[in-house]
Amino acid sequence: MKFTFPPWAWILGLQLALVLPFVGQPIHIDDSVYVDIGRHALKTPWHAHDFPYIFEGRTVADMASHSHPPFVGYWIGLLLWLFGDGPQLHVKLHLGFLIFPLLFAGGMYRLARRFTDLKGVATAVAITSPAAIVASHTLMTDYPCLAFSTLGLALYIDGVDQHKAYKTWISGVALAVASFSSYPALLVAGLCWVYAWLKRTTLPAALWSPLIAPAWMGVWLTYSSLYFGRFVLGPTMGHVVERGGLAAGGLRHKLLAFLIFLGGTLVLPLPLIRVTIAWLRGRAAILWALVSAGLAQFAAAAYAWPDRLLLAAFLTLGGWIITGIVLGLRTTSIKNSSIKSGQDTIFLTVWALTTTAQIILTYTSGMARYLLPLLPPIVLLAFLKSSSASLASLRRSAVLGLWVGLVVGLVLSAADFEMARVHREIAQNLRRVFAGWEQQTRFGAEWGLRHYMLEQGFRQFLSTGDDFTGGEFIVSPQEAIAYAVPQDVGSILVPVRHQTWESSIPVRLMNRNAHAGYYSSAWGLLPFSISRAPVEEITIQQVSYLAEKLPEITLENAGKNDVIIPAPAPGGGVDISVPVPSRAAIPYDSPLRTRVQFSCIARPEFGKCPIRVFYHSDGVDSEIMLQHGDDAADGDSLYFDLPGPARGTIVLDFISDRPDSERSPAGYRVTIRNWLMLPSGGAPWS
Amino acid sequence: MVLSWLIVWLSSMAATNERRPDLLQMAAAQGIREISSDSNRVFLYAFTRHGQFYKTLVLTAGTMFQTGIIKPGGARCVSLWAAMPFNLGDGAGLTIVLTNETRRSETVQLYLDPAHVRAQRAWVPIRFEIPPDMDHFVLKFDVNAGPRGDYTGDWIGLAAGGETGCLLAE
Repeated sequence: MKFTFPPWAWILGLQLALVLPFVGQPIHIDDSVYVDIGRHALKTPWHAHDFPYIFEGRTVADMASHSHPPFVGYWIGLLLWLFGDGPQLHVKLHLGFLIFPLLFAGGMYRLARRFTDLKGVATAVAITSPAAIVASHTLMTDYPCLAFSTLGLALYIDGVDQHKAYKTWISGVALAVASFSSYPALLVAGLCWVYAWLKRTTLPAALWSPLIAPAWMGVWLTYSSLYFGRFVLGPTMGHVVERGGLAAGGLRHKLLAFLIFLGGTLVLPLPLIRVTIAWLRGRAAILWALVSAGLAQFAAAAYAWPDRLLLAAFLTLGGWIITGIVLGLRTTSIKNSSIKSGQDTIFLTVWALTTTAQIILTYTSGMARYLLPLLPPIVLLAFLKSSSASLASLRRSAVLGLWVGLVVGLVLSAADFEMARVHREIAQNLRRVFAGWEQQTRFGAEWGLRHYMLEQGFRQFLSTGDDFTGGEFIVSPQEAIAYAVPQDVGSILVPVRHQTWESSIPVRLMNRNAHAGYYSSAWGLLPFSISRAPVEEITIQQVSYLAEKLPEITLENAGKNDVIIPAPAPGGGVDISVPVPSRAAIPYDSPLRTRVQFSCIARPEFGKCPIRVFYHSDGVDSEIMLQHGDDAADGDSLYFDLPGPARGTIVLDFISDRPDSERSPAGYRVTIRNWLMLPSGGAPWS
Repeated sequence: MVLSWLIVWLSSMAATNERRPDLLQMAAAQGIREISSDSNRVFLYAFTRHGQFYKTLVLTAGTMFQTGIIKPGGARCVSLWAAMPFNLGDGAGLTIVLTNETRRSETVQLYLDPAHVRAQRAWVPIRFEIPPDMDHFVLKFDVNAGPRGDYTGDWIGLAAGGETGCLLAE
């Protein structure tokens, strides 16, 4: 007897094959937010959101008004409780999230069996969606929500079709969990009633079971609002409005991004595209392609032409897909097909269009992962039983769509993995360079970089903070949401280093230079881009020690009204203008050895910089030998080392061998440019 | 009845507005706009000092701003916050003059130097009395470079003050 695997076994096997190779992906994008919620769910299980948080440089007293309810946080909390925290946290969590792709595959298989004649291959098209493959490697809410809403709707449809109440009740619970992952999933509970109405079902459970999700959300929101003393969704909605998500410009941007991301990352539903191309003998499709080219030129004028071409191609595809969905309704009525298939088309179209509206109206920008709720209805509409195309033709389209999705999805996943890896590597590298200086090194970044920087002992700063002290380092990324530095500190920053991180994969998902905004169209209108731009760039600056400590620096032997004057240096950094002759005493307290480096700029007629450096500690003055640096700085590039731990005074003695009569009326001054206090003897940059 | 209450309420609102002129609104009415790359030397700019964030009217060194005619009503004092956004340069001076057709009173002379004085890296309260015999006046704000003539970072931001009941307060 020959044994054959059932189709669902192949589907689950494919799904595992798509996820398992990526379980080693470091914490990435907003995974870190949910990991933090999970950690607090263990501490305060009844109020997982009750902890202060710094996000994008601003502090919030609690996370109750976070954009998502706490299911994923609780799930991570459970995984932490079961398997513990630690260095392999990301692997444990990814393994714990395997359940969601499997649940989605199960739900999708049930729906494909109900609505198509290609249950196996249609399901495979859905799970090889590039957006789905990439999302399956994250710890965010998108995949759990997709899994529970798809499974819930599949069970509900089964329940109504088979007149089995228990399936609709289980569906109600699944949809409640979906909503507890992401608020917009409530819409799916509403879709259940649309289906029940279309089918004119008399099953009482079909009416009541979809209420579980809104009722549960009502209870949770009431409980949470009473605990936190405010309607917790108010600030969430306020944030969308504040970011311009509902303004005309914001909606226009999101609509454009929606079509581009739909065409570029969700799925390739060839039957729907074919319907559009056939409409009006191709004239409408050609017209839209031309409009897309024009829109690409208009909306992305600054992009390089290959990027504009890619954008126009994605926009064209996205428009064709939406047109294909709408035309499906028209075809249904023209063909006067059976009532059942007509109802199916209407239901799936309503599902697709209401989800489209929700994606465009909510959120603050376009994102590939936000399109996931649209995946099931598009795939089902593409391969619907009532389709006019032959089964063989549909199968060919599905296989082609599957392969395209698979290749694009895996390439994007590999590039995304690289970005996650780079952010972890940056944090580890900085830890080596700033060993012992972690408390003096602060960063303003989000995503995985935030997670790993905190793990390495670095601290975040606030954009409204006033607790910066001279000598602190500030680490800012180019891509991972650099926090705004307060204007007072921002004006006295000295550049330390700018470093780039590359990747061998020439695909970028989040990169401003490449206009790729897979996780937010605010980075760029392309969901991904073919580019070799650095994956991440890190800028390290130091709060000018001399400028920040100026109130504590004493100036001796100078003229009566002479002061030290800080000013922005040409080309960046800080100039400290000091009168000559004078003695500046700078308080110094450091637990570690420090290398001080700076440029000293004096008028040419004075030759070399007239400076001597002393270190005063415990009543002893000792002169420190100044060394000459070999970098091409302005003036004399000098450095000296200070011992650590040390507490004393650095004395800069500016001496003049010129008689007073030769001094200009304004006095003679030298400029100390970009005085830096760096770790001495640490690991080199790499 | 409802209409009467509405009229009373609107009148009281109007009266309230008359008693509480807003410095930023007065500046905006004179065409002063948010800071931009082509900004004039007087502009609107919001910034944080000592953890407190205020929207301000910024005057740079060598500029002046004059309000329209203010009728103080019952208020007998003016309250403002002042700060310089950067810790650069040698400081800047602010002079506030209260004047009308018959009198001129130089009420405030403030020298801010946050680069050298740590306490001035915060909002500095400004409060002054309105002479009892002045039922209307204009306020004139002058900002000048520090005593050494250094113009670096010479921005002074003026925000609505914290003393309730005073003119120009929050």
